[in-house]
Amino acid sequence: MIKHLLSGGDLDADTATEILDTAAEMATVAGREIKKLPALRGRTVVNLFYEDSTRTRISFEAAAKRLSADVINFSAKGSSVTKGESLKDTALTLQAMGADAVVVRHPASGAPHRLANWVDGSVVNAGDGTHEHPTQALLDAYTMRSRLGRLAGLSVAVVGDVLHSRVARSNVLLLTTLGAKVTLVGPPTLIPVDIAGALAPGTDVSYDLDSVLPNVDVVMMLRVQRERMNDSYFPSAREYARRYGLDGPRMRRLPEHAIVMHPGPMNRGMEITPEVADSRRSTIVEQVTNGVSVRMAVLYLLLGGNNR
Amino acid sequence: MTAYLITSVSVVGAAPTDLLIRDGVVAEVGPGLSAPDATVVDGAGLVALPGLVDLHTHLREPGREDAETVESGSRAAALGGYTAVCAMANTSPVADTAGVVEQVWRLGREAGLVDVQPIGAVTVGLAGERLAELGAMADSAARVRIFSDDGHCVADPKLMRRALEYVKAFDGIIAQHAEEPRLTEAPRCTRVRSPPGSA
Amino acid sequence: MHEGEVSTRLGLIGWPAVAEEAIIARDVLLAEHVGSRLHVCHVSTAGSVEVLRQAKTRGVRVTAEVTPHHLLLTDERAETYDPVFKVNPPLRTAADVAALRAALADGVIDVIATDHAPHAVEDKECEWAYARPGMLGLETALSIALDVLGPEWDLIAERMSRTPARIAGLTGHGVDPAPGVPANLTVIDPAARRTIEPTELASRSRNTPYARMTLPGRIVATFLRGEPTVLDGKAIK
Repeated sequence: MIKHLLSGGDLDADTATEILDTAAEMATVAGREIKKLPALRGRTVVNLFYEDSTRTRISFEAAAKRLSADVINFSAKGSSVTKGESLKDTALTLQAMGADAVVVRHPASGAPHRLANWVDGSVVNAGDGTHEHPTQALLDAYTMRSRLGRLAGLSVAVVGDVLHSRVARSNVLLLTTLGAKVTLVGPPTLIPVDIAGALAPGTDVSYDLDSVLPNVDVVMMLRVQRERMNDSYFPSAREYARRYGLDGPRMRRLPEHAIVMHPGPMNRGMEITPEVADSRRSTIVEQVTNGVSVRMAVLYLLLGGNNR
Repeated sequence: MTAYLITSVSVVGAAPTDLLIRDGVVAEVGPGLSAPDATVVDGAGLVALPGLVDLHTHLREPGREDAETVESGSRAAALGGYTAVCAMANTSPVADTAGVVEQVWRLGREAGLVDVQPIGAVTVGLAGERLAELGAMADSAARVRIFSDDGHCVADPKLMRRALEYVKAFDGIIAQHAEEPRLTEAPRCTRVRSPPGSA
Repeated sequence: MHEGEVSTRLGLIGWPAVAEEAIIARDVLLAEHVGSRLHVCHVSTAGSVEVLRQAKTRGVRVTAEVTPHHLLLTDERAETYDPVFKVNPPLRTAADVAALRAALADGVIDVIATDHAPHAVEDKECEWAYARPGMLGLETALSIALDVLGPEWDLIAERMSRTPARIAGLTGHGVDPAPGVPANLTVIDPAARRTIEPTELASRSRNTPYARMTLPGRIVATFLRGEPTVLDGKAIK
């Protein structure tokens, strides 16, 4: 097993599949009356969050607690971090506390990679800047496999602000490793340069959502911040929604079996309409549930729970 | 003043010869030189070059003496083969007045390891808004000839034109840090804490 | 960092080549219009080389410098997110490095200049986005030139001494050793190889991108107006 989970690219197909299979076992725990395993008893997991992300933090916290780990939440707000403590000094503090794993969310791309140099424990990237969010990609892959029965050969459209999306980068890397084909869709201003060469050969790019929809098994809508229009990435929220938002008529262009995903939180009316978000195709609530199982699997495997 | 005799050294890649240094100048060049009073440096296998000259050095003094001083940077330069360095203007305070460039120039003389030639800022405070007193810096003891806002681009085309024209009066030159700032700034909604200064 | 494949993969904000090239293109036109001298700092892209080549062909009074690090290192160094490789302008692609080397040899680029930029440890031992840009250069420049150009001593003298002295108007510097000229010279052992240890540098800072790399060449002695500043590879004071 790998030591850290920093990027979707850290996982080969076997390791990724092992995590997804382990997550499926973990999911059975959630159905029990007592949702707890003793696997990580006595181990310490630190949630180090430099950005507000209640849903991700709670998901990791639930995952660690269901494995009986001791959980320390270290939020940047109201802590030594706001007093100017450096990431390295914070890392040394966590090291001194004996953290076995550090789950880190940070606004700067690559901060988890830096942290991994300074702590002995495992580092899990819970979202870094505009770079990656590998556990989100794992829970997305888990959700696709649960709904559609497989990943190899699936056609997945990832739609929206790819440029700033850590979800998109991790998904392209992981899904390609697992044999799916990814098409990135969005206005050209929000598709980064050289994306196929940068991430995974075979990744397609399209600027035309309508032409892509009839041929996909999965459409994953990314959150788009309205403020992007202030930087001229697109002229207005209304034009963005009209060209790249997923509404009822567009949804009906999808094949019958296709599913609609969103990492949340949603901008209803921007990239997705309520009709779509609340439809039977939508996996948005399942993704949240699956997130806990996948993060249990990641912590369990990284901390060597299977060897104890 | 001690004399130095460098024996069998290749001058800029030519066949080995001897070099006698006396009274601040190269006194003699040729094979088989002798100078009983000179300290001998065995130059066999070595190459002599005119001392290196760096057009672009940040010496950090005044302002960030924890990172470098004129003296420590001068020592690094000498160890790198340099005999002259041009010190960039993005110090704190900025080298945008005769007073600051003279201070840097004087510190260089005191260190005595390389000639420190200050570069003056093009605009006041490197802010890119109005010209610094370029003529005063040119006329100062530091005799500034190169002007640069390095770390920042003189992005305003009118200001750049004026700067280029103005320094002709004293044979000055504008050294541009070529970076269109609007094409390199962070997007507004992902902007992270930006460090002050640069380069 | 450079906007390209690597910045896309790393999710770092890109600093595109065109941001440099557009300013150089504008400035050579301005310099031509007013008949002034322009010097372009730290040229980093193949496109900039082409703009400069055209301007020089037209007779514009423009000179240009390249740093040692842009002659050797590429944007892939950012993959560890270690800010010791963060510099402005950023490290570019292998194709840019090749174009810069060719331009240095053919004279479109006039000078190697270090952009020696010392930074305190806390300004580099942090997240990439928060780190200050810049690298040490003075103590390694000659070695990088030797590594990149080979023992082309006349070219090295031209790009690192004679031409920069002429651009800066520093009389007494950049003159080959000959009877009667000021004894500003340096003596190099081209056969020596040394491994760069940041703690052994004379700079107060440690931000060399060449840590633990083995580079050719060693400065044995340097003389400033006949006085040694370096002898036997060690600083005199």
